[in-house]
Amino acid sequence: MENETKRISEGKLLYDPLFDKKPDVKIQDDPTKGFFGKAIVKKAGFVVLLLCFVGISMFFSFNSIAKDLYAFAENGDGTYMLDEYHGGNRKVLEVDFVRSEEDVPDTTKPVTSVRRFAVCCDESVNFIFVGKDVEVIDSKAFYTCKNLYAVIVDAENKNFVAPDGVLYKCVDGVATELVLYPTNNSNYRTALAMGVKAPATAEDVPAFIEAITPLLEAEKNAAPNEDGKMTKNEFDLRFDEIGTKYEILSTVTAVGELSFAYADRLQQVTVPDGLVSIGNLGFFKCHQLQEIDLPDGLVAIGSDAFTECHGLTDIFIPASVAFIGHHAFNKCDNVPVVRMAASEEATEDMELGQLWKPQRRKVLMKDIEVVYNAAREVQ
Amino acid sequence: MAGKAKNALSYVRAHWKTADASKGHHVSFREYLDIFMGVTFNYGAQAPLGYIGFSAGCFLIMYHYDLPYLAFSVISLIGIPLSYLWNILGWLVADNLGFMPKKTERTVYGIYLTAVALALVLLIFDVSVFLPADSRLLVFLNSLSGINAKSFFKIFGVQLLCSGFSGARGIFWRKILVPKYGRYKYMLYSDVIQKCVLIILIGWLPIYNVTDVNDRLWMAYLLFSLFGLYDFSNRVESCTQVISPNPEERMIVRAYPVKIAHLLNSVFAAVIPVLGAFDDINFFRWVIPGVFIPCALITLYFVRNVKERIPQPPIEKKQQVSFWYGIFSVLRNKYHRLNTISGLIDSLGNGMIGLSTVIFLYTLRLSGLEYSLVASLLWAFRGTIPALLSPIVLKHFSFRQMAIYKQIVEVISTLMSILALTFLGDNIILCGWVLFASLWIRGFVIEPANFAKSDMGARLNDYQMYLSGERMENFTGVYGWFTSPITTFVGLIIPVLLLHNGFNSNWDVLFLDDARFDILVIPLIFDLVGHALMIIPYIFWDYNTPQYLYAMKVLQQRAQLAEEGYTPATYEGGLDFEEGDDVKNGLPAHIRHLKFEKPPKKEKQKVAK
Repeated sequence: MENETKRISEGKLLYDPLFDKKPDVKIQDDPTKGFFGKAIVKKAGFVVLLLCFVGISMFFSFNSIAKDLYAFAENGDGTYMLDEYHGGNRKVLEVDFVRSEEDVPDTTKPVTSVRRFAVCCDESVNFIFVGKDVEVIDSKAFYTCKNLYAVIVDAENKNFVAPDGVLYKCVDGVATELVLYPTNNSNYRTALAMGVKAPATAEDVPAFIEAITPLLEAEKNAAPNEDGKMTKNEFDLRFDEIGTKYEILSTVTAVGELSFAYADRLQQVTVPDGLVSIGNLGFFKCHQLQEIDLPDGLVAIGSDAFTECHGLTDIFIPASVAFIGHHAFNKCDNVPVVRMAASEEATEDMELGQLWKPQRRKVLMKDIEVVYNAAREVQ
Repeated sequence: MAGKAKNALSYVRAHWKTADASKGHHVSFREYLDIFMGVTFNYGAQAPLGYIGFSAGCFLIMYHYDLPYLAFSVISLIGIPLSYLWNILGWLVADNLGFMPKKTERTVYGIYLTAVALALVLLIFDVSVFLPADSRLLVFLNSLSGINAKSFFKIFGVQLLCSGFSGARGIFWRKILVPKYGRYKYMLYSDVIQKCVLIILIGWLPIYNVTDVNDRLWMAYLLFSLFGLYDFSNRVESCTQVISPNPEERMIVRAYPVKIAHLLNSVFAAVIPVLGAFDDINFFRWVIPGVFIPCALITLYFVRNVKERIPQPPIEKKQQVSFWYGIFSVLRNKYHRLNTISGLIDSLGNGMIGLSTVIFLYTLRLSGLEYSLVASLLWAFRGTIPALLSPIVLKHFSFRQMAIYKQIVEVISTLMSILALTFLGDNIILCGWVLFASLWIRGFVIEPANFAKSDMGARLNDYQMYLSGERMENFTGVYGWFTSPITTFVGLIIPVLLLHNGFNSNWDVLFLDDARFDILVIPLIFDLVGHALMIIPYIFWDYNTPQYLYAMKVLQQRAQLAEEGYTPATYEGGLDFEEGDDVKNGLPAHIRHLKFEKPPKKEKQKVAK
């Protein structure tokens, strides 16, 4: 070791790979390696290897993102679950039997359930037809179908009903839980009120769309009159009367998770007296919702239940409420005060989620004041 | 004291417009001010640009466009085949700074402009209608998640347009503006108007309202790609690298006006979120252009007097290396290979959504001033102190130790995040802060390792020079030719799984507690496995400080020999080199026993004084 150190300090030449093997800026044949030492073989090998890498990777990549129209999973009892649906531009989804890529149903394989997020952010689907055998539909099964007008349930189905296209879950033939208020249902109900015929089967859908399109176009293209004010056409007027309001069936005890999410043209929702719970994100981003009268007997309000309901100007929480989820009234920033029927002491027995109160921005976010022992305002 | 101040003031006045040549200075005091203001407002213009980009994590895309998450991966996949062509052309143009032999230039222009013409055809016409309705290609393209046949061809057209157009304009502007404005600041002049127009269009064009998601996707991609085509990065700071041929003066310029401008940069970053809410489109209509346009114009005003003074030939006069020699030289570099393997394993975590974004917006629900304080200030400063301490830390540890340490920290931090999500999920605020703390501490403690990694980047180029006589920086990109299709494929795993769990075009799913858990934890598990496996390649890393010092000694020796007329290319023998019997990775094995000279310690210097 001492000798090596000495050689460096004396300026002897260190080993240098470039001097060891005279470099050439071009690739040349290496005779010692035979066939594989030839420059042309090395270059060809490189190109072939590169093509293989790229080709195989691209093949698997494209295959992994190429989705079948449907994916079903067997439940183990001869029935099936709709696992995934990638409809592309299709306007109708039929959940009845296992279907082929050509959309041909296999009537020996009934579908009885729909997995959560089976239809996820589909912007094309307008109608979902639920077959007679369907027993379970997850509350998140049809997550954010922006253009969904209605869910149509087979008359023989005992587990679900869908009056006016709104999906309810039934127990013993009685609707007990509102599962889904389709985002575009306000337009659908208005169109029905104007005489457009509701589709009974998938084959009727094109006729419905043909009938509703001019009504919606007229609404979209409405121009101001000579006074500069917008003139409301017939659809607008009927929409104000019908589309902005919804009355939940009187037998319902639960508003499900995400059930009214994004129904941002609803202004008034009438809830039944027997309502016990509102699920997480139940009225999420119902921006124009102005009126909702929470009934006595309501026990639970889920997390983010009323998030971004900017139109709400009054919140009255009945004394029966025992649970409020976190961020339940997040960004309900037009509410002057939250009125609670319960006393401040009684709230200690309630399960209150974090940041459940609405907040208002000044410099930093500030909780909106809560008034306890408040009485319900009689209208 | 007053006299000294008066003298200083009169000195500044005397050299306000002309530098003190008697002291070897080239930069006048006026130019110091111009640099300070230029860098400040160049950063100011960049701050709002950070909020715009064609990625799922961009606030504009996240809140307003509702684009399918998987579409971003699909778009990058579509771009892979042609990227090879653009790579080679890009090397050719960049290496020659746009000045090429006429014939080559014509060919390159021809390729770029043909691409533009083809792109326009694809963008104007819907070519998918020419495919037979039952063709397998059409069926296949329509089955792709996130896009359809029509948008596939449009997206391909956007990629052709942007690559072809940017390539052609790169040559054009370089030839016209580089001689006048130098290598760095010319882009500020050539791009500023287009950038201002596009930043307004980004906010005001209602593409996010286009009903059909496939049309919305390609239109947004076109708009954002055009926006990305024009550059307004920190060119003024780049100018200071060549502000003076006097290295001492250059150091002073980079130490004072530039560093002070850096501090003001944090102010811009912190103020912008306070001016509006990301989920309000008016933020992108008014705040973003309102900050960018004035800052860009002020930058241009001040940069006009900033000069580039180091004389550089228009064409790099370095040894021309043949394509194949370059390729095989970098492929022989073991350490590039190890880095590549590590990068491939790292891609296991690709496609996961930004954990910090989710924490800020969906767990802690920050916005406005709270967002600014936590996400812009507290978050941004997590690496500041360790960055200052990094040189001291690195003296005591090898690169291998630092690289393995980094992966262990990543594993621990990821595990902490998984545990927090699993056990604190019910307490959303506490969970959010624990996640934040975990990420903040990770950023704090791995900063020296990041520092070591960037330092190793430069050392690897030296090693490449030692091995093959050239640094081959561009040729290193050949590894990407092999890895990018694989990483894109591996990077699809997480988005496909996230899609299965409800994460598509609507980020609001993250408000659902159970969905947020799945969407975060599944990718974190992949990330955890990736970081654990990434330790393996670094176990074989044996290019540490002694090896680096040896390579540098050899490079010095090579330079001395070149002065004496001995170059490797002409060497015919006769010099007394050490034996290279036990050579590993081009380095003789015995070097670990060698002692290298260390700089004298300070105490010794004091004694000597």
